[in-house]
Amino acid sequence: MSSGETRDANRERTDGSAADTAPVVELRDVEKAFATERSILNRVLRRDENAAARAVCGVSLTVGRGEAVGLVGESGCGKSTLAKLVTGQLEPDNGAVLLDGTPVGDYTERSGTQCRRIGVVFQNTRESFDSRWTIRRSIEESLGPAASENDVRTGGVESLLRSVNLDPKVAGRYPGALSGGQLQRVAIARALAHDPDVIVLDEPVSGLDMATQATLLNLLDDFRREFGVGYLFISHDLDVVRYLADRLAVMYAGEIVERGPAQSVFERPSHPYTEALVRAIPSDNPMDAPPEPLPGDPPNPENRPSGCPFHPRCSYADTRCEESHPAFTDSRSGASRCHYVEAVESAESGTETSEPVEARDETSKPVEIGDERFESTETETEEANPVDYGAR
Amino acid sequence: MTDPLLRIEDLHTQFGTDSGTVHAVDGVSLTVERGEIVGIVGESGSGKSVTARSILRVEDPGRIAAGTIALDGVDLTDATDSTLRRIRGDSVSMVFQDPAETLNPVFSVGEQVAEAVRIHDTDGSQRLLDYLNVPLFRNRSAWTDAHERAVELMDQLDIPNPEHRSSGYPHEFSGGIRQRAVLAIALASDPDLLVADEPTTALDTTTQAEILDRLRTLRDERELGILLISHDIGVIAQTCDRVIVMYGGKVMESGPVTDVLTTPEHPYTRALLACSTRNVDADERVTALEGRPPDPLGGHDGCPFAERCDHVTPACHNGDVPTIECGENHRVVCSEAPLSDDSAKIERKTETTMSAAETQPSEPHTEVNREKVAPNDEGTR
Repeated sequence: MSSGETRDANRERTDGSAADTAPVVELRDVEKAFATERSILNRVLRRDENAAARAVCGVSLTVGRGEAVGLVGESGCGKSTLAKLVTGQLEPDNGAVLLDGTPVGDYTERSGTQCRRIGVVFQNTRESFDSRWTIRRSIEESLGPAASENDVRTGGVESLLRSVNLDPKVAGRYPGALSGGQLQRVAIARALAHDPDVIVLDEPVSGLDMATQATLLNLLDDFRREFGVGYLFISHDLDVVRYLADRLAVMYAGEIVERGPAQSVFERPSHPYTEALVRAIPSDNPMDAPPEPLPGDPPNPENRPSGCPFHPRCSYADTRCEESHPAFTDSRSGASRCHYVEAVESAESGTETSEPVEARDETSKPVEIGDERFESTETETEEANPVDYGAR
Repeated sequence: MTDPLLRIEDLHTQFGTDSGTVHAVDGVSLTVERGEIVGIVGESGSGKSVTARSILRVEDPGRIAAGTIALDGVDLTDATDSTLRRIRGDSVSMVFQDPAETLNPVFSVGEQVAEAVRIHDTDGSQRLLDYLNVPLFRNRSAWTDAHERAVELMDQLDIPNPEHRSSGYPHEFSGGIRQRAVLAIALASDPDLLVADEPTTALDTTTQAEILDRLRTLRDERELGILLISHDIGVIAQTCDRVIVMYGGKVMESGPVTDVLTTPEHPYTRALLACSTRNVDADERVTALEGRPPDPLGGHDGCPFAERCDHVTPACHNGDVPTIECGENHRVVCSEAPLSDDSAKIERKTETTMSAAETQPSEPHTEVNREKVAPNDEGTR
């Protein structure tokens, strides 16, 4: 790789904190809509010509080396579409995807080097492996020509498997012979094989049991520190994201509705939707209040509600929310796209005492520092572009 | 004392494979009463699902090698096919993990609920016709009746706009509505026992909360006995009355959720609770269980958790492990129980124990909560 030396320098510098790294991946106001099928009648009558499911609507986001950005939201909110825009499986309709500041197209237009900068762990792990290929072949394909230049992973497939705590003998087996947790490790090994700077992890631990989840999360945390890779971590499980991510973006109906340092967004949500997500988490303690469901369904992406997309399900909503779409406003932990940030925040602190997370206030000091960094950069960019997500 | 709704005693379900016999369920005993939600929690491969499947006798290709499964006093292990056919769906219903796979994509949801209604409404003669593949709805009125009941059921499960929705196909529904439709099918025959195998694992947290809420309502309103299987401790903690912790095909600990999840006495339960990301701050590490789950081939002598246990003694590796009563209905299968409190584990979170105690002064569990926390938190962020 041509930029090998600078990247090694980067690697030393990162040292687990993402404070001074330039973003590897940047999304600028990306939009993606999927055309919906129109009936012949509608086509003849030229009706619904603009009918399209708007999956991602104006999202800006950055991921740097050694930094874990979490993306949470319900299914269908556009998380996976966003991931595909980053990996180049899809191309945005509007806006741009930038790699090291250079706009790039989809994966067919990206150079080999550009492609290798981003690793992917797909959502359905088992389906992402060819069942008739051995594990070795799957990983070797990903190793590609970069294998020989690889310093940490010169041992190739075997050392990669060892790094994810798997027996190297697994290399000779087929995906069908591995358990879900094992295969997920292989998927992570495969994503690491081509030495990426950022790995997109689409629901990497959902469907796995608690014990397997814990080992995988630790593993991912180690790799971040060891190799300085950044993560775009997508999950519908706020708990998992809170644990792994530095920054958190909450997505609803194709938009980011709240963003900020993961721990503080989780503890003190400033958007009614984030609040609902936090309240829906079942506590491990049987004495705690039961999780509260969020009534209603996410909006139809073909027919998005006017104003704030969350207003039909929101308990704070009034006519203002129906009419105008809120822009990002500063909140106590980041930025929130809500007209009634203060109301949400004060309601939250009023009821907070029953929240078990509140008790962790004192222990979240390291995040607090990140918090300031985050907010200071926020305010600078806020005026320039209200939808910009943590751009530096 | 009257018989519980479901009583499983010393159940052994095994699978014959080329390399030997897999002891998937290895001596499990449990009971479920009416109007009670019993949870089974454990890692994948611990035998949770096989236990559930054994109840409905859909354990195939496995076989029940020993033990009894008594539903309302009727032993299901040696029941005939026709008895089982009557019991399945009628007195026991099952809900599986992925509603998208449970529902048939080519039939409308209303039709599928109506089918369940119709099958359970009909007498033996219809069963024979059914067996002979005579179409279920031979006349219009039978369909209309069943359909009306289906809409009613869908309405009871809070499916919005059921009249309209009943003609929709599964792919048109969101995950939560789909799972509610599956619940409607399961409840069509007004069963006594509902076996739910990871009913919310494929759903979003917000939807999950809704389904769990629904299960609690069903328990209260219909006196339904529910066996809820999950690997998510939060789901179990917030829904169940009693919990059974399984590992390696055996019951490790059982008792009221309020006891087992707040004062766990088995080393495995403690380890499992420590694995939960909910109990860990972002700057700590999650405690991962070292080692692998036991090989179910050939069964175990002694405690299956012995290999990974911190409290292991030579006695754990062979012989029978004693069952110890730690409180009312709280049983622990461990020779070392009750465990002496591991000071290292509690010390980790003393400062937060304080603040937690302030916010929830009257609750004794706060202390215990801290035990869930990882002892090794080096190398943190």
